[in-house]
Amino acid sequence: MKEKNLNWLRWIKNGQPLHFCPGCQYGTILRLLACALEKTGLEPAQVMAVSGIGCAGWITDRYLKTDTLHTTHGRPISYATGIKLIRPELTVIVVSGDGDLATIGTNHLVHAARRNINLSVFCVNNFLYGMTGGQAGATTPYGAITATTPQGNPEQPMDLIKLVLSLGCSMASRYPAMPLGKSPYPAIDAIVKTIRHDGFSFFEFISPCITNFGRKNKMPNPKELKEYLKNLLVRKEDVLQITAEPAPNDNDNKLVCGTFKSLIEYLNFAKKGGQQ
Amino acid sequence: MVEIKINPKLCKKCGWCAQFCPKKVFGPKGEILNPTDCSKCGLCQLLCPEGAILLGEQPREHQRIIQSPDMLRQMVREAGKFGLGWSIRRSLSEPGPCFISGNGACVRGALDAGCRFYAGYPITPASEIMQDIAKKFGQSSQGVFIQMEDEIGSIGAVVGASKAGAKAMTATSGPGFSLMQENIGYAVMTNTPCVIINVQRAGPSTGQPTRPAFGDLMQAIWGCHGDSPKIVLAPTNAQECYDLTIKAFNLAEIYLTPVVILTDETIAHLREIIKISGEVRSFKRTVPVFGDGQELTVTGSTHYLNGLRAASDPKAQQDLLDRLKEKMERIGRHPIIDINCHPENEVVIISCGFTARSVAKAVYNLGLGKKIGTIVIKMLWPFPFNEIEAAISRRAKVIVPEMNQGQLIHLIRELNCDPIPLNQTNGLPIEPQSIQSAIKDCLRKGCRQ
Repeated sequence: MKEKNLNWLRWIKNGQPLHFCPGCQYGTILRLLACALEKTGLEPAQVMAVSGIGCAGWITDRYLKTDTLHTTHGRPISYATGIKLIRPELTVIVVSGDGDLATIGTNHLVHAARRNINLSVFCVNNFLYGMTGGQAGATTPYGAITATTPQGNPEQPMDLIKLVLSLGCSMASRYPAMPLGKSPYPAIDAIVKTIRHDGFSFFEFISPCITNFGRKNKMPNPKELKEYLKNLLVRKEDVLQITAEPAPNDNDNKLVCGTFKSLIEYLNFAKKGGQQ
Repeated sequence: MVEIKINPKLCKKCGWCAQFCPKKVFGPKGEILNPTDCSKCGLCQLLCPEGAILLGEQPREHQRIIQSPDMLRQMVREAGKFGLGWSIRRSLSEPGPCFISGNGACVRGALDAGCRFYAGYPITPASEIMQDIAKKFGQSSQGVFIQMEDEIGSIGAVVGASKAGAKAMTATSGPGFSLMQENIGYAVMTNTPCVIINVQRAGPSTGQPTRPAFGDLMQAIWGCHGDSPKIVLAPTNAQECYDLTIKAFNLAEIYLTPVVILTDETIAHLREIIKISGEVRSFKRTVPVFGDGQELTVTGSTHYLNGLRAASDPKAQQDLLDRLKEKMERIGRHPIIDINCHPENEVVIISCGFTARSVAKAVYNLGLGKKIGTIVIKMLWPFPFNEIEAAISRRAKVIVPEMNQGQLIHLIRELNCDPIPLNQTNGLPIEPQSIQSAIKDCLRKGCRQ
């Protein structure tokens, strides 16, 4: 396999061991990003990584060997906008969490997508606020138990892919940091496409927080978490084979993974997965 | 058979490898059970969160010392002593007299100082600055203008652009200034030069958008959380709007710090004649910026000199705050202040902003010569405590007229001169008559003991 021989090590700072919890997949995401950056043929000096607050902000700030800017909570996209406008030749990537990009910073995400500014935004969705102790956020699944929703989350989560596509974004992807279906290297090619895309592009990693989300929702080990993700996620190639009617229970609905280029395309797949 | 190595220092025994491996090579805690089954797919090496698994021979990257941005800054600062970074530019505006509002003068000053980036959000009474800049940048390619979604986004984009090497600014008024506070603190923390013009209006909250006030003085100095000192300038007329905006860009670039310019609605909209000299002394920082290939690590967390986070190191925190304090002390050695005092003064009036002009008019009307002294503070932070203390005579009474409920007076009180407040918060500039009557009142009661 080609990916095995990629010299991704040159994209990673000497900061190991990683500061993430045991079982947290953020280290995997760091490596997927490094592999993809290596695959794009860019040099570290050509890349600028902007991150926000939270565990996901550390992925680039501490470990990616490029220029990095670790910003205030929720604002990385606005900082990246300024950088991109002044240095358009730089490849600017934004890596941050769902609480950062999609809850406190939704405004900037929405407007960057609307402006179609040439940024690649990587949202690492861990379903809650991990670093502050596992409070519910805008992407917490319905019914999930968190530190602030001990009875189960009463609110509906936000579909980020649908959000950015509805604003005219022409490249949005959703992948977990693990193999899904048959393809063993799931996300790397999609990340490369996202980085190369001319215009605003969005990428959502699904990587539930094993410490806060996993323990409270009866999946404290990678084994149970993998089962949970296998039930939750479905590749867009596979979703067409689902023949059963969408279940009325929200928990049975599936999130469609893949790369989507328009809202209509996404909605077609999402409907099959049982999403409204 | 390929050799599988697990680095025990990195492995946290999470067990993801057992989940990924299609050939069941690994046990549930990451131990190697069946090495002969390995099909060399490389999935474990790619997906191990800790990067602990190595499969066969690896390409090795030579370790490089990360160049510390602050160390480079130090070198550049040394070089700056020999005049590097300064240049004389021809001003973009026509030399000679010019009839212009305070907001317009700020724009002229910014463009002449070499501003290349503006991000803003419309707000009365600061919108003209944004409109003028949008027009100027739209006509030529000398700069980039963007209207952001809110003031938080504006200051974010300004800090980002500044870190990428451009001289950047934004302008706002009270409500927007409140929104910006967190990210102004970020600019302080990360040594980012930028200029923020706050055209003050009567508050609190929405208040009276078309009326002047000077109620953001404390917020401008101490608004951000944590000890975050920054430069605060306060022009009194359109000419100073022009001059101090240029000065603000130079100070920001020299000292790598945000600069807040406090004007108010009256100065902003009052049209006056200003003189443009045609030549501008401007400073351009020579520190490395993003895109220079220096692998800069910039964070708003407490950091060491090389930019790496130090979120729980007491020494790093202490050193960082000491550095910021020391920087302000260096700036404080060059105060911007108009002192017109005499040892025979019986009354000294200390003011800033538009009120200083009413004071000048009141003193002129009274015509009492040396009995009245005036001090106009144009750099509000670092505050010129020593200069003011030296200027006020022991027996003089101090009056502090302000368009707020008493903010400047708190700083004056530190000098132990028992100042008399004269506050007006009706959304109108203070009339010279009210200052005159306050002076007369003071003179009648006699001097301080």
